[in-house]
Amino acid sequence: MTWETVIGLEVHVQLATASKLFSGASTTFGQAPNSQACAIDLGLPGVLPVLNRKAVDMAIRFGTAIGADITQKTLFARKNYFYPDLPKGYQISQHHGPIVDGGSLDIELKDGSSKTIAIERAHLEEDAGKSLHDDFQGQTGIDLNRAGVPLLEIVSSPSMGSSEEAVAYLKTLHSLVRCLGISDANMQEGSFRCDCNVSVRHQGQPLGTRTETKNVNSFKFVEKAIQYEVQRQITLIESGGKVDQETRLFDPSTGETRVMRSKEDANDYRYFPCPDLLPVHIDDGYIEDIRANLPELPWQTRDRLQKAHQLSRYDATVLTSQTAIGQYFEAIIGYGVTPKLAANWITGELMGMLNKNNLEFQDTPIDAKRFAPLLQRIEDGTISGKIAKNIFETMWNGTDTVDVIIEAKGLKQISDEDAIKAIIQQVLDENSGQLEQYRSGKDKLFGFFIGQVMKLTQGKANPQQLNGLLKKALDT
Amino acid sequence: MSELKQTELKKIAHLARLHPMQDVAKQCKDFNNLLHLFEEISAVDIEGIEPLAHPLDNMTQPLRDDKVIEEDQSKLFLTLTSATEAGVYLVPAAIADNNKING
Repeated sequence: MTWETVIGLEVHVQLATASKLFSGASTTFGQAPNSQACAIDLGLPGVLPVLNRKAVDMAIRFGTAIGADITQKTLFARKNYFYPDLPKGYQISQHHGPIVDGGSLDIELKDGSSKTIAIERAHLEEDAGKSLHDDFQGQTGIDLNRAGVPLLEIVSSPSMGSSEEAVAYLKTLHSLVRCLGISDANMQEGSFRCDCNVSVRHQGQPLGTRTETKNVNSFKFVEKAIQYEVQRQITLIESGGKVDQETRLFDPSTGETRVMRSKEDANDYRYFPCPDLLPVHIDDGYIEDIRANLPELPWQTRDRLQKAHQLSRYDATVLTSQTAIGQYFEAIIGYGVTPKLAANWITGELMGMLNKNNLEFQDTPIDAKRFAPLLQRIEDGTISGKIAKNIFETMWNGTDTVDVIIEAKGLKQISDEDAIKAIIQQVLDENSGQLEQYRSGKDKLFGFFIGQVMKLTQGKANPQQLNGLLKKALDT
Repeated sequence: MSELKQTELKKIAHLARLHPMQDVAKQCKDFNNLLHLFEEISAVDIEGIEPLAHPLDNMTQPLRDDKVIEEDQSKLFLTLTSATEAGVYLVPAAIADNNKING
């Protein structure tokens, strides 16, 4: 019998508010420990939480974008557990009546197929503080700056069947929350954290026991953690064992998951309505205002760009994986650059270089105004694509425009037919042996002659012209 | 309502991080007496009465603007605890604790 994998994901998205969910303390990342934890975050006696309107707006914005119902009387609950970085002894979260109810996301897979992933709910909750285990001999340090930071926990249905689907879902969700401006979704800083619920079963059988692998913080790790967990569970069952419901951790250095703790039942959180917070009544007008101001969503931009510029599905998807990339692409073609050329350069050279330097797209040192002329010089034949790549590197490391660099380095392409012919002749004269071999049938030497001409011209001969002229010279 | 067993009481005490009890049998009896009180409350006829999530169910939670209004008072707050170092609160090592139930 074949095994079937069942995956559900819980994603904690940190909302991009200036202040916390229930207090006026700052949420800025990386500040001095405890400098941003106020009396409310610390749960000192006599304080009252007051809900941040912007966090509510953001949750509604997300809900309307995924076609969910917005719960018009949404409730906060206390989720009780003990841990030193949770100062109140409970987390203010939502249990019954989460603000976002249902909805779905369409994902696209590598084979071109698509699948709709149902979302069960998304709810608002406050984050816990941070425990520092390494720096204080035999003790744990507690930094409560993160305590109270607003999170939207997005819970998918258990409807993904492979690590590929899980990663596609996460990427779609990641680009959506960034497009909506509700989170920077910086995975390294923990603004977009994923818990993977994984189980296996024989086809048609009831769901198997699931494990939860917590806080996986990159797409690659999610893929690896799921693959490892699926294999582990199958091997365990096939050798006569059974899967325990437990919480696991992914270790990136070994690619394995290991037990963190066995999960207590949900009831043990002893949820009850938070007496400090009234129900939040959300009327139709509030929801419609937010819906009317939604930006163009990533999948809408993707379809529009693909259709308008005859792009491949792949290019359109990459170009709309972040709002900033789509805007950059549209700015470039606004200068009259051919869309396909712009797409190739953005998804190839530019994104490759950003990746290599570990930079976010919006941090690119070459803005659209400086990048567009580089592509224009390729199109008008001033430089070849190969030379353009060298110029691109110079532009990346400096502030000069393409024209200044071409002039200063004398990189202008040689498109003068007579000049190219003369160099071809010189190469043929200097390599009579190879010429004879070529003419007696060794076609492969064509590349050798191209190489020789390029060497003499320092790569500046117009490649298309050179091809034609060389062929002519060799065949006569 | 069924009687609460001693094993269940011990689990509740563990979840609430209460120290082990000295006379579990007596505690269990007291606890069951409390539960009987709830039984009396449960016996009240609430037919046709809408459940309340909050005593002020029809009022709405006031919302505040997203503004940073708190200042750094960490120096003061850090004096509330017995052990601190380099601006952090120190607690007994928590890494071996298998009972963290976060999220």
